[in-house]
Amino acid sequence: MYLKILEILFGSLAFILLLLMLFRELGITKKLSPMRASDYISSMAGFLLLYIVFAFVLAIFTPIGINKMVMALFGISPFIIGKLVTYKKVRVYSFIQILCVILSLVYVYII
Amino acid sequence: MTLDFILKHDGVNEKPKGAVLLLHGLTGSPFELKKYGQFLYNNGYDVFAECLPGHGEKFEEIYTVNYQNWLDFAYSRFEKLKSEYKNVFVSGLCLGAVLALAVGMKYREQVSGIISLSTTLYLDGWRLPWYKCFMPIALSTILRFYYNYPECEPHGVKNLKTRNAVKKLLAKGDVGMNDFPMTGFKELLELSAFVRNGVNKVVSPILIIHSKEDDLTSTKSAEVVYKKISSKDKEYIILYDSYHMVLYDNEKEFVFEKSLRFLDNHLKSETNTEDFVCI
Repeated sequence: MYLKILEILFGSLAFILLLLMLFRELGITKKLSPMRASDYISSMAGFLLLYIVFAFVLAIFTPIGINKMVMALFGISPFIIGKLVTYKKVRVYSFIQILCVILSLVYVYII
Repeated sequence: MTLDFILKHDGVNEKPKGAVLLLHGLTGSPFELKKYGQFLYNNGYDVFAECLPGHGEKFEEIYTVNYQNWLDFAYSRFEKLKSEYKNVFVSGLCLGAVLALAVGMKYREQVSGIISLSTTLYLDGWRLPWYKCFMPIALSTILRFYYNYPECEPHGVKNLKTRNAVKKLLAKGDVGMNDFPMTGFKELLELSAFVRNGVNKVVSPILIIHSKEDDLTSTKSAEVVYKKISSKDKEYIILYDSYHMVLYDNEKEFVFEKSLRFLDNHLKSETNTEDFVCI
C-alpha cells in the first residue's frame, strides 16, 4: 500500500518535472521576464530535488533487488549528467535528462 | 571594446612606489576598478587591471571557464609583476578578493600586501532570493546551464544616484554582465572552498574591508578570513553605509584612503639588507 502511494507520488513529480523540462526546451523561459524565468528554473530545481529524494525512497522501500538498483540509478542520474555536461553539449544532455525522466516514469508505472 | 587598463608611471620622472594588481568581481570588468585604480595611480602606484578569463566580449565565455583558469590568470599576472617590481600588492573585489587571497596562499611572503574588498567566500547576502536553498541542486545538475540569476535592485549599491548610473551602464551591457550565470556561481563557490581550506597559508599583511549590509555576501566571509589567516599584520574594517560594491558606494573615499594608507605603510625598502656591504 505505502509502496503504491510512493510510486504515485514519484510518478506525479516525474511528470511535472518532465513538463517543466519540455516547456523549457520549447523556449517558454525566453518569453518570460528574467525574474519569472528565474522563478521557473527554481521550481524545476525544487521538483528535481523531490524527484531525486523520491527515487531514493523508492529504492529503499521497493522489495526487489534489481528495482532498488534501477531506482537508485534514476536518483543519481541528474548528478551524473550534471558532471558530464558541457556548455557546447547542453542540448544533448538536456535530451538525455528528459529521456531519463521518461524512462523512470515508464519503469515505475509499466514495469 | 577592451576594458583592461594599465596605469604606469614612466619610471624616469616619476618612479612608482610599487605595483598593484587589481582583480574584478564575478560578471564584472576592470571598469568597476577604474576610479580606485586611478586614485592609486595618482598617489604613486602602477596599476594593472585586466579582464578575468570568461569575462571578455562574449557572454558565452563565462560558461566555458573554470576556477583554475582564474587562478592561473592571477598567478601569471602576479609573477609577471613580481619580476618587474619589488613591491607588488594584490587587491580585488568580490571574486577578485578571493583570487587575491589565493595569490597570497601561493606566493606567501612575496606578496607585499593584500587588500580584500567584499570577499565572497559564502553566497549568503540578504539580496539572494528565498529559493537560494535550491542552489546546491541547481549547481550540481544540468540546471546550472539553464539558469542566470538576473542582476536586480539594489545592484550592490546603496547610494541611489550611483545605483541609477550603474543600472544604465548595465543596461547598455558595456561594463559587465546583466546576469549571474550559475556556472559562474559554481566556479566561484569551488574557488571559495579552495581558499577557505588554505587561507591559513596567507602570511602577507592584509586589509579586509567588508560592508555590514553587503547584499551578496555577509560579513561571515571576511570574519573567516580574518580569523584563519596567519598574517600577523591584519586589519578588518566594517563599513556601515555601503552594500557590496564598496568602491562605488557612500564610503568609497574612505575605502580609497584606507587602501592607500595600507599600501604606503607596507612598502618594503628598495634596497635589501643583504645588499649592504660591511666596511
